Amino acid sequence: MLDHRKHEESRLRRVHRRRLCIVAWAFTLISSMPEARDCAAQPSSASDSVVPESIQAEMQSAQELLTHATVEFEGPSQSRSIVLFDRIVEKLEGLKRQEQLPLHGEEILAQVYDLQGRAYFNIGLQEKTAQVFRRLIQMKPQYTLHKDQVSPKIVAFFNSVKKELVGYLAVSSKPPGARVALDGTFLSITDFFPIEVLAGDYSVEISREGYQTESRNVSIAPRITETVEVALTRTAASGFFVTQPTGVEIWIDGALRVVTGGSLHPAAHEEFKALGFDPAQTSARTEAPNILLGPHTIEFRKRCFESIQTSFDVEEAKDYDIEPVRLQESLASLRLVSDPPGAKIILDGEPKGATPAYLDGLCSGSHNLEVRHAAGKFVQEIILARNEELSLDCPIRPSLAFLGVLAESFAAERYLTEADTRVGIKLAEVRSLNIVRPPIERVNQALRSEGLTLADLLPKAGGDPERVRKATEMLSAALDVQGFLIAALSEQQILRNVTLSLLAAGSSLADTREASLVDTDSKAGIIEDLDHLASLSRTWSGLITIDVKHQRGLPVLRVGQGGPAERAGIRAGEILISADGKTLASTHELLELVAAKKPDAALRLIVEQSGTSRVVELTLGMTPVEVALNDQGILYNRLMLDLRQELDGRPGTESAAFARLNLGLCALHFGDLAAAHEHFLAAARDLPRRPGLGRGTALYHLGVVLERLGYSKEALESYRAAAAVEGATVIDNDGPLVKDLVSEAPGA
Amino acid sequence: MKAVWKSKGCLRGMIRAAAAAAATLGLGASMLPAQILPDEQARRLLEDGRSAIRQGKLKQALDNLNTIVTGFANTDVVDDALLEIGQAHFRLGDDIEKARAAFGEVARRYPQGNAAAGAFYYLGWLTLRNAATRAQVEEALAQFSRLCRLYPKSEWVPRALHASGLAHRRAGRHAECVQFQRRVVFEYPRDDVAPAAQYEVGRCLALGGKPAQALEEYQRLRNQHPAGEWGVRALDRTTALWRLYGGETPSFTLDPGFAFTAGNVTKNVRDMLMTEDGVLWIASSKAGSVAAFADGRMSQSLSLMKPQALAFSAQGDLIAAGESAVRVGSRDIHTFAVPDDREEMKPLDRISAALLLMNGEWLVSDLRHKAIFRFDPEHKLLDRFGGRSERVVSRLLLDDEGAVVVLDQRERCVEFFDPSGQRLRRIDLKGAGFDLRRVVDMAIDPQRNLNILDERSGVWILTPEGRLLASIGGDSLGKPQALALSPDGAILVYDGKLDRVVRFQ
Repeated sequence: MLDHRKHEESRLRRVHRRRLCIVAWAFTLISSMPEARDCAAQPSSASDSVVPESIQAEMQSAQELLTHATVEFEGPSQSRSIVLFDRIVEKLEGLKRQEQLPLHGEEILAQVYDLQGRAYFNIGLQEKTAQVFRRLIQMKPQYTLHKDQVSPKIVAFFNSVKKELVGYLAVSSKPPGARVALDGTFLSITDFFPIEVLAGDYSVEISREGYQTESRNVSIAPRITETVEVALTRTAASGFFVTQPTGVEIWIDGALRVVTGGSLHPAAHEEFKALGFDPAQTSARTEAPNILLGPHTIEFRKRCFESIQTSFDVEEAKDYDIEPVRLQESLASLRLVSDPPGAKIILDGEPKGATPAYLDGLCSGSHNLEVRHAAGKFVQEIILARNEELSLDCPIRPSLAFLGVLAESFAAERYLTEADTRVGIKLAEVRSLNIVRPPIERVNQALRSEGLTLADLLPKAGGDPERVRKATEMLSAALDVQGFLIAALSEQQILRNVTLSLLAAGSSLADTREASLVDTDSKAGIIEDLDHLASLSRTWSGLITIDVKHQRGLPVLRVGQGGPAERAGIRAGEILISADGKTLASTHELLELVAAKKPDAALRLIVEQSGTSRVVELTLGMTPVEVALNDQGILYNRLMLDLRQELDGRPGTESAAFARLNLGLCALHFGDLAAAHEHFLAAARDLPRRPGLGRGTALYHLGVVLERLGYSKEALESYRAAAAVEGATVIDNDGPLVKDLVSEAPGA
Repeated sequence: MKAVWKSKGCLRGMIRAAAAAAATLGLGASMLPAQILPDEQARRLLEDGRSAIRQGKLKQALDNLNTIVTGFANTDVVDDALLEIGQAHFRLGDDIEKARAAFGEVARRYPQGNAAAGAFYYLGWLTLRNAATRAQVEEALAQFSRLCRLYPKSEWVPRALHASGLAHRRAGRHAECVQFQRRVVFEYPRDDVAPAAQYEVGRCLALGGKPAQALEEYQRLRNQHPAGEWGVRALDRTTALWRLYGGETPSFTLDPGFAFTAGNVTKNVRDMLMTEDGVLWIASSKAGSVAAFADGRMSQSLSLMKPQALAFSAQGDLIAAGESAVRVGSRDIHTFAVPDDREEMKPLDRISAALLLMNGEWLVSDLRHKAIFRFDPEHKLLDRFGGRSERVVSRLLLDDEGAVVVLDQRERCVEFFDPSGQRLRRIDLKGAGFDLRRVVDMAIDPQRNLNILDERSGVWILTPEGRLLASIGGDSLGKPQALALSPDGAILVYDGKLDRVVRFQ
């Protein structure tokens, strides 16, 4: 006994030095138990389902007590731990009696009995020790103590107690692999060596899929081994499949049963070669068990291969070798172009280069195609047939994030969900934009990081445009969208109208529109506005004519420099008599005629000078057009989406530079002089120096912005530079000359 | 009976006072017998008032609107009501002072309200409309500028910019006028005032000596509004400008298809005038009348003994000066008297021309006294206009900048004065290529060119600086006596030898 005490004390001393580590171990042990983890993550009942909160509290309390008790157990006064273990036992046994003890509770209880038994043993109370160990073994007959962790004397004592309580059971079946349950509780899979079982009478159940379940009654006596041998009776058939290639899914009656795998047995190589198979690509004989008697449909499926369907009749419960199947490869190709080009192709989540692209060797079947560009994206589900060569034009559309509905009053809050649904239905009609709904928590989190709320993005008195601009840029990057839509539900006309606020990335002020939620005309209001694509160019003749009463034809006041009329040799002062055979009574008629034609179309003119007429063939051109600064019919934020798309989609091109120019005008519309300055500066750098709209135009607008910002000297320099661009205009190529505008500017 | 009415009146007054008191104290709707919130009542009164204004019912409008001001002083529409009151006085009652008081009250008491920007606009507009001096024009400009600065997002901003441009034109600053009007055109292209602003751009460009740019601007306006009022007016301007500046020299030819006669009305014609909508007024001493012709048909005739000259007032009314009386439109006849050597008041009986200024003052030229007299609106003599020197004046006109234009036959010159009598400039009727000795009439076109009619040599067009631009019709006219300019720049001349009106275009 003394030796034992010494051994135990010496062990305890070692352990005591690592007391904190052991406490941590106790925690780790508990928390690392799968059941404990499950319980921590989601409450579970005794059978690991839902654990009521009161039980969780009890378990929490037991764990805290165990921690405390373990510290005492490892300390110098180990006996003080016994009382604490008693308290834990009382708690957990109580739950067990009520059948409310979770699985990890049983683990704790076993741990408690283990430690408490050892504590009793260490103070010499062997009867108490035996009592505690008996409880432990009755709860967990397979529980063992190991000599490398516990004193050998205690282990020997534990085993002696166990011998009095435990017998052994061995079960074997034909075929093996059957499931064995003892009084309904799973024990093991056949065939197994003798397993420790608490002495007593049991019902043993042996079951296997496709075989009839067998039951046996056995009596287990302490220290005695009982053996059960069972021959199982077959009730279902098995199918054996060989496929080329391997990895083919076998679907029986619409359910996936098995996937062929492995490689063909060498002995069968010749046989399969004779059948036209390539043994190197052919699977092993793969079993699909438990096929019920009767007719079945079998489908062989593999990605990138043509599926094969066959039928199969099971007449008796036996093994069937299904005729080997060879699947034909099924590939297709895809040709993708986008406007703008250079967009990233993502096919089924995998990057596939950039547009324009030709992708061959694609599996037939359905695919998720996403063509992604900084300016927006194109998303489509496509289905490829075998050997199909599909060509797709992928228009890149800006993405607009619908950020939800805000209530403007307490009364409106009740209707938020319904309003949200109705707005969503309306927005589904939008064709020119990708409408996305980002997780609102993500939006709120991003806004919170800037110290903003969703409501701060709505136009209001005293709002901070600079913060809104930064927020839209940040959100745009975070959500991979180009604009945002927020709905507001007011107290008046709840569920009839909402106010929609549209914000483009980089915009400092939203455009707002009332939208009807009950209007059934799908093309009405905001939807039409959202789908309206502004035209920022028009067909151009370069003829500036005037209407004069009592005058035959239209006098040509001037011709646009470098424009179609000048190229055709028309000069100022000539009289335009007709166009395409139509006698012209007004310049408006001429403009309508030109507008109806496309750039590069021909216009046949009769012009007259000093009584002599001549025919002129004029090839029409195109003029870019500036956006009006304050046109109530324009949704400037919608326009900005298109302009940004142009800018990001065709970097370095002239059209991108014109988009810059118009983005500057949009910024000017919102009074965002800083942004306008930035855009005009870039446009002045990128636009060509030429007559009409171009660098001179951008420099002129830059001067206007600088003047408004109070930089008179710089404004004057910009004006002068603008005026130096010969023939530069504003509005369009026929617009007022910049040099004339500059001459009107103060101080110019 | 009277007592009953009085009692009812009292009751109404008490209810109104109670409602006003409730509104003042901020009591809820439930406290009011009618169960209508004071704000709602005030809004209804405001709508009624506006409706009455639209129908031209001044008194009814003022009743409704004044009820808001007195009985619902704490509601949120009181400033709107005051603004409407001002507009009603201005548009319907022509009572500038009451209008100014109402607008002033809005600007003073409700500077943060919805109506404040409108009040500032009208205060500026009234100042500009009546401005007789440069300082008053600048004051109006300051009001518009204040509006744009304080209420940059207001719907009144485009109107204020437009009015600022007009003020600059009045001050002769054509480049600034163009700049302000262009801002309206560029920045508010859909605003109601945008076509007018674009028209003004063309006008100021023409006035600033840039006819080609003006032509483009008018044409741009016409392209956008081909059938609208401003498009039609723009066509007149392009026609006139093209005729003057389209070729190397102005191109006018006698229209062989036009020869207008109308019996006695076209005999002894002393003056002619054409309105912007093409109505021709003819003053005939033979007929003793002033008759209006639209599309060749007489539309109106006003009797006037010995008519001498015609002019338009600043408000656009026809001023017909007879030898002893002046007629204003079809409304009333005015006579004027000045003290003689014995300080006795003697009526003027050799009136040669008369003009009604924006501030209500009269300018009347008299050949007997060889002077232009200035009278207050009640016809009380104020002073001799333009200094003490003797003048033989046959024509008094107002040009587009509000300057008084005087044709002095004795001095053989045309002089320009501001409405206070300060001389601005003088153009002699003798210069390089011309020496006009028998001048009988004059007209000013929108480019400020002077069209002078000489009895012997026909029509002479002089630039605003007095340089000869063109001479017309010298050979084809017998005895030209009067001329008028049509809106599209054609020149109508009365030939006294043939008693008919001919046209050069």
